[in-house]
Amino acid sequence: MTSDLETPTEALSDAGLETFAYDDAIVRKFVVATVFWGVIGMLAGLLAALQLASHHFNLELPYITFGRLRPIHTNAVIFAFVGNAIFAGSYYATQRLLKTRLFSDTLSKIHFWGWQLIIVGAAVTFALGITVSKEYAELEWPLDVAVAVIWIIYAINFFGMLKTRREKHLYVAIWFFMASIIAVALLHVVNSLAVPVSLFKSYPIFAGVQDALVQWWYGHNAVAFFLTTPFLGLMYYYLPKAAERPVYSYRLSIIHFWSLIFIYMWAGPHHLLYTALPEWAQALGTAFSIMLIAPSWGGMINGLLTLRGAWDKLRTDPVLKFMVAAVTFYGLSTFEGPMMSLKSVNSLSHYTNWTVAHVHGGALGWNGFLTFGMLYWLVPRLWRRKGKAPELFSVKLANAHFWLGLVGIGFYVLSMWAAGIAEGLMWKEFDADGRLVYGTWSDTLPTLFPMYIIRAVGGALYITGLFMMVYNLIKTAKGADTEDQVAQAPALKAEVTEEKGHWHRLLEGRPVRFTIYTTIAVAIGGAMEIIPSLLIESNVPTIASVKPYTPLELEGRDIYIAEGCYNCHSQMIRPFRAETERYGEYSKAGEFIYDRPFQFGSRRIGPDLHRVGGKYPDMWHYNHMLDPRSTSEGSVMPAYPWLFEDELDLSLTATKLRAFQIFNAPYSDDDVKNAEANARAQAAQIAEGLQAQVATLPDIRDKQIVALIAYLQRLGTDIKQAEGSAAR
Amino acid sequence: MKNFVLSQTDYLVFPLIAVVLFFVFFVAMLFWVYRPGSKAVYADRSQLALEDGRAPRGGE
Repeated sequence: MTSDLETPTEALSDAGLETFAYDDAIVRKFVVATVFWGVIGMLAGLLAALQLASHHFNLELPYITFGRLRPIHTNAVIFAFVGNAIFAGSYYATQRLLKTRLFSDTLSKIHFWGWQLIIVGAAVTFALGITVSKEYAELEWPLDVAVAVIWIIYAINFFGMLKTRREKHLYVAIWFFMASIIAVALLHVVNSLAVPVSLFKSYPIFAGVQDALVQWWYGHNAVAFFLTTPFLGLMYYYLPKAAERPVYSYRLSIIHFWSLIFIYMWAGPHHLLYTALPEWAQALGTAFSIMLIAPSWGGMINGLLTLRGAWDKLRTDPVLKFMVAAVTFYGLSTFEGPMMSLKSVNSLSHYTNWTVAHVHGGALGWNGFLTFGMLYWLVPRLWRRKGKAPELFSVKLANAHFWLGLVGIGFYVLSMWAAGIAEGLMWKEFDADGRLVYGTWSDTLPTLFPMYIIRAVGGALYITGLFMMVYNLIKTAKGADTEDQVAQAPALKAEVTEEKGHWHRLLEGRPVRFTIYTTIAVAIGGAMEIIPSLLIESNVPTIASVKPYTPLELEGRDIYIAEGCYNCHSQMIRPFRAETERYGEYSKAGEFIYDRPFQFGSRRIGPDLHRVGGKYPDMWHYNHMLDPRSTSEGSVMPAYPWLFEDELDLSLTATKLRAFQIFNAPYSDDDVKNAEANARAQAAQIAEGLQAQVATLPDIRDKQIVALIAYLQRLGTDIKQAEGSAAR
Repeated sequence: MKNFVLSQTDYLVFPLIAVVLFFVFFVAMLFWVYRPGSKAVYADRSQLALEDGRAPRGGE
């Protein structure tokens, strides 16, 4: 025992004992929000799953068509469900670990209500098709600003506790929370940099390949610093609590922390393997992804071995069941992820349902189960019955929830693994004559539909378990007492004399330095990747024939983005024979220099569209968008009848061109001035061409569909003009 | 010239710097966490999660 150890007995004898109350009211609010948004987000996911099993579930309603529903689902489960769980869990744990009340009750309230308002704003804007289209960063700029403000309030409220704390040392869980707060702020700001053209529309300052790199640096690290590190903080607090023994190795937790936050930031480019991203960045992403296995598994082992000598509790305690399963899923996902970052594996797994299986193993298993475990532990303590030990309404029901959830994940992940590998192989299969066996996209679909149904069943089981939890928690909370817990602790002496030579205590005991070191560790990876990537501007082989979009095409592109087409269609043909055979010439970095935001996509529910321009006549697109099954038998795509009714809004076109002019697009001032007239002229040409073929067709010249057709017909065609001369 | 160099280099230098950086960092960290006397300190720290929130009297 070291001399600086403050045992409770010493504290008792201390005359300077202070009495204070923890702010549990705000934790309760966040707990309720976690459960509420969990239900909403997962139901949205179930509906999306059903839409893939049958297109009828789109109901021909624009607001819940798959392309708009998927961002609602992903944002609801990530930022609403997991986000509120982080706030609830970190506020409860940190107050107690630092023996102090939350910094400011007012900030807590602003934090809570601000975050819930942002979530509502997100749901409404996505349903209306207001989106940036960058995955997990779809919010338009006003909401991005709101997120930044609320996040800063969270930071002040959290770091403020370090000032008022009554415990000198920062427990490792707090490290994870602090690193998460810093990293998320950094990621969010850089990836959201954009130039607004109206309240609901902005263009990112990065274009094409650079935008892709920044986005997946963000996207990967949203997984790292929103879904992983805060939850590791929760694990390091709630798992020892539930097991009633300290973490297996505190030393390992330190190695876990520093390695993880250092390595994570580098791994983003593994989302862009075989794309037009420069080779060095791809290599860097893969190498660091493989290295990630080590700290991740260190953390998993540390979590699991915390139960040493207490494994018997696993049989009876649903809290530990959920947590141990969650940590196991953490281990599985962090092994699968690096494997999928190997280029050879990625060439098969990318764009397929395998990715979907991977993220849901992590989301349902790690985030979901850890949250459930935490809630089953927290709720009886936050809603206590006077004079009684904290007790869950029904342990039996919680155990049933666990098994139902586990089976649900099993159905989900296994079916999506099977679907992913099957579709990856079908895309690549050639017959003896060297032709694609599944040459038509819809040939691959009959294999997938049964898997989609199994997946939906798995999701439904998981949600059934969730509803059981809701009932159980409501019953637990009903009639309980909700007073703030009162605690006593001696004040921290203002100057703590550091023993000479123990410089580690400077690091652990002084939050400011710790924050600086953490920021450096986190920022280094991003800087090393992104700064050189900005040099690519001069490095991207320019292709002389690549021109900016016409005003109408630009409007069409924005409709493509608004409808969320990128959720199902990639625009990135990888340099494989199976892909060039199916889609055409592979994609080059130089082709995307006017793409703001980039539209590479991450999943091919439908075929790649990068070379779709000129592949079909306008009439085909007209029919296809009105009824996809009329041109592509067995297609799973929703119909888009509203594009044929909604007016094409050209009021912003000139402003949009002006914005692109500021970036890099060689529009002349006349182009900007005549943007609307030029768009009208091109629209008239397309509409008249269609009517010339079928005289009975309605005039679509001022409908949204005409712009979308113009855009689709332009896609990937510029390079063909060059006829191989300048293109490479 | 600058553009020419940039377009020719494979940027292999960045992954290299990255790996070296991490290696140095990692080894330094190992030395640090295994420094003499750390065991007792860490045993003490790991108790923080369990003792917190337990009010010295009353409470619970």
